[in-house]
Formats: sequence, structure tokens, C-alpha cells
Amino acid sequence: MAADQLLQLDRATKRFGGLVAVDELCFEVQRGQIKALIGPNGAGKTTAFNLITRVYPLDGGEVRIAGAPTRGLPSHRVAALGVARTFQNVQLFGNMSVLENVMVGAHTRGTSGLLSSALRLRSMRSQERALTERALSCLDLVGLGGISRDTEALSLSFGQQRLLEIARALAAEPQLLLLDEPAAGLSSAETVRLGELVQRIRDLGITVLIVDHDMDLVMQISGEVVVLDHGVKIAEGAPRAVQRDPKVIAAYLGEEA
Amino acid sequence: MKHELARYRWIVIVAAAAAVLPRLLPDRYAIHLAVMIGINTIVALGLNLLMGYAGQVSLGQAAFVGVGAYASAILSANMGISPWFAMAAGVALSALIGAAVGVPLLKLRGHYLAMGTLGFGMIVHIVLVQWESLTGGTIGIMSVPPLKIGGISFDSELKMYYLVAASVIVAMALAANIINSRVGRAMRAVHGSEIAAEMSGVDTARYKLQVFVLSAAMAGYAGSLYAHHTTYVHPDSFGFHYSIYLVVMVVIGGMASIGGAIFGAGAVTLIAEHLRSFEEFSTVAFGFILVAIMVFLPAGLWRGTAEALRRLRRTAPTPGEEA
Repeated sequence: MAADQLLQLDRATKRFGGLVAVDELCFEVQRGQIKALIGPNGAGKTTAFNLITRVYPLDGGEVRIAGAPTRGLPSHRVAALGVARTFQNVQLFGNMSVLENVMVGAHTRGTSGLLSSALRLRSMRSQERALTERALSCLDLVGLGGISRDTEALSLSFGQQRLLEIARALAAEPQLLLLDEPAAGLSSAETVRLGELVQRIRDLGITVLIVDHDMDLVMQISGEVVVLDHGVKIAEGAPRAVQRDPKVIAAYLGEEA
Repeated sequence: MKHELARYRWIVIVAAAAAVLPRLLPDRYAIHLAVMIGINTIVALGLNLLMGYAGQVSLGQAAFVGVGAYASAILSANMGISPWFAMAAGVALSALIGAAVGVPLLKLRGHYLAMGTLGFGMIVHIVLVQWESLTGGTIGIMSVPPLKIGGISFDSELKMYYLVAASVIVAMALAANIINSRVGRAMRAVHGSEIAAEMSGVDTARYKLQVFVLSAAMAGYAGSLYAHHTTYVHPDSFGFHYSIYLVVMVVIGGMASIGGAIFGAGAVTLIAEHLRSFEEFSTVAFGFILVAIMVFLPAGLWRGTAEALRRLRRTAPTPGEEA
């Protein structure tokens, strides 16, 4: 059913000079599912994320969010369509507190402008209280509720920084959450908790597309898996089926199929 | 709401200090210097919003001060328009020019933005020198009338001092409010990570332009105050040197610090004034002082001094007291 397709990549293509980083990539993400995008290093996973969020313009094909093409939109407009993401190399606002970082995530949920902010009008203050509440509940959700809200973001441990990025993304109340290697650099205990968190996020009705190298995590939580190699989709399907696919095994082990 | 008013408690202290200060100053010249510090504080505040908070460098901020000063001078001295209207026009023109040059310039990043704004500052200086029929060229414009509202004429150092002090307090309050708001967080997010800001739905280009125009308007306001205070404008007051001084005020006052603006503006204004007798060597001495401040108080005078005091007072660190 087309209505259930939250994200569609239709022959999405990105070239860097002579290198085709993502080559006519087609896949869909259904509403309410956790889908994984995996593949060896350099397969084009992060590039695919950057195409979806329009950090890079497409060189061919199309990306649709809830049926609407994103061609020509700047990234912040894609965010306004209900897409939030985290980054492989954590991109927190180092000049802000934990709470403020998450409040930026809720930017699209506010409307206060320069004048009402400068004068702290009543409307602005009540909105500010609502944003604070929302941000605090997002911090709670990811398990950072115990951290002082005024802590500087970059003074958190690496694992906490990854969770803070997720909290910031959730503050936007997205329809689609893109997680770019959220388990990279986490301990195995942290990774288990991350898996539970992602499932809880899905249960809240947020669709998740995840890139990660931790196969245990990916296979455990994902409903479907897309495998990329050299920018090309080589397999798609249920985790078990994909794991047995000879092309996937060859791509990971570097054998000729 | 009690909580809401608590936000402005500091104003009482600053206002009291500002009210007492003129009585402690020895002469009119000292009060004049205090006025100059106040005017520079307003420019530094605007520049700190742009540089310290939003992370966008401007090496041409003096040009906006010049636009405000010349607009005020030309309209009030040459065309006989009421100084208050001239001042409003000066602020509007600075903001307008800020918007016009901000759109193309803010597409540049880092060093390129610095170069672009530097070029803009030079162009404005050249215009002020060359457009003699309007600006008086290298002679400048003399006999700029004092500001006047209702029956009050701001025609003495002391009256001007109170006007400038009130302006500084209002500017600080507005700046602090902006910083701690959705708009301010968006601006700081641009500094923290532009890509993450965009992905949070922040229209980074729009907020960069907004803060650029705001800083230009504050510079224009300060320039207008300057013209009516000194009654004389000259192109070299708004050249490259002054732009650098302004950046230095922000840096030694402390990046991303509202209170630091007063200290930065105060230090630079006084140092520049006292080094005048060294003539060309003043730049050398200024450079040495700068290096010393950057080495010993890298967080700026404001925070650096506070931290140093705290370190002195704390004999043994008490657990759980940090942050």
C-alpha cells in the first residue's frame, strides 16, 4: 500500500567525480518499521542518509517522504517534513547545555521570533516552558533524565553524547528517525540498551532507518534489512534471509561471488 | 511573575553602578571616555551576538557604525532634520545595508567571510572619503547638533552619559533575552554544528542573516550616538583599525559573554586612549597587551578574572561543587 510508504528512494544516485557513491538505489521504508541499511565500509550508507536529508543534492533519481518529492528542498525543510537524524561522528552543539541541545531539536515545534524573544512576550514564555517540558521528557526517554540539565553537552561520556543526539532528534517529534551508526563506540552493555531504546522509539510510532556495523544489534531489532555494496543494493529482505544470501556473504568476506 | 523579574536583577546592580560612576570620575574628559566605552559596548554586544554566539566573523563592523554616524550627521547637520529622526534613519539604513550585503556575504564561511566583510568595510571607508558632496570627504562633517527629545537636550557629557548608560543596559537585557530563546539557541546551534542545526529544522541562512542585521543595527545606533556626542564625524574613525578594535573588544571581553562586552570595550577604549602618546608605537604596545591577555586569560577578561579569583579562593576543592 503506497500510503504506508513513509520513505521511498527511487533510483537515487550520487557521484563524487568519477566515483558513483550511490548507484540507482531503490528501497522503501514502511511506516512503523525498523529498517536497517548495512554494508561494508564505503558502501554508501552515510551517503544515502545524506541524500535523504538533502545534505547532498541528488545526481539522479528521487527521494520521496510520505509521497512528496524532496527535490530542491534545503535540509531544514526536510526536517520540517518530519525527518530527524543522528550523525556517525556526533554533531552536538558544544557551546550549549544538555537541555538546550535538545531544545534546538524541537525548533520546528516553536514559532517565537526575534522580537517576541527579545521582549520575552507572554506567548514566548509559555512556549518556552512547553519546549523545556518536551526536551526534559525526551532526555528521560533516552535515559539521560538523571543528568543535570545545565551540564555542557561535550562533557558527557561518548555513549551519553550518542543518546543526547537521539534525544535531540526525538524532540522534533519526527515521523522518520535516521540513526547513523548509533552503536559505534558503545560498550556491549550500552549497545543492548540502545537496541531496547530503538524498539521503544518504534513503539511510539516513529519509523526508524538505522545504519550500523553491529550485526547482532541490526539483526535483532530490524524488520527488514537493505544491503549495500559499492553504492549498489545487493540484497533486501528479512534479517535471516539476508544473512544467508551468498552475495552478502561475499561482500562482507571480500570473496568473488 | 516573580521568577520572570528575577531575570532582570542584575540591572539594579549595573544601573546603580552606572549612576554612581560619574561622581567618581575626576572631570568631563573622564565622563567623555565613559560615554565612548558605552558606545563601544553597544557595538561589541552586537558583534558578540554575531561572532561569539553565532560564530560568524565580521572584520567590517566599523562600516555599520560609520553608516549610522554619517546618516545622523548628514541628516541633522546638513539637512536640518530632527536628530532623533536622523538617528532612527541611521539605524534603519545600517540594518538595510546589513541585509543587502549579508545575503551574498553570509554564503561565505570562516576566513572567506572574514575577507568578505573586510572588503565591505574598506568599500564603505572609500565611499565616505570620496563622496565629498555628501560626506564632506576627508574633512568630515562638523557641528552635528545634540540629541533632543521633548524639552531635554543631550548637550552635555553627563546627559549623554546617562542616555548611553541606559542604552547599554537595554541592549544587554535584550541580548540576554535573545540568547536564551528559540532564536538565540538557533543562532548558537549554527555555531555549534551547522549541519546538525539544519537537520533540527533551523534555517541556518535565515538566522545568520538575522543576527548579522541585528548587529548592524546595533552598530548603527552606536554610530549615531557617537555623531551626536562628539558633534563631528570623520571617515578615519570608521576604518579598518576600528573594525579590528571591535573584534578585539569581543575577544578580550570574552566570546559568547554578554557582561564581557563592557570589559572588552572598556579595556580597549582605555588602552587605545592611553597609548596615544606613544604615537606609532601604540600599535606595538597594543599588540603586546593583547598577546598577554590571550595567553593568560584566554576566556576573556570577564570570565578569566572570575575563574582566577575562584581558583585563588578555593584552597581545597570541595567535591560536588564543580560546574
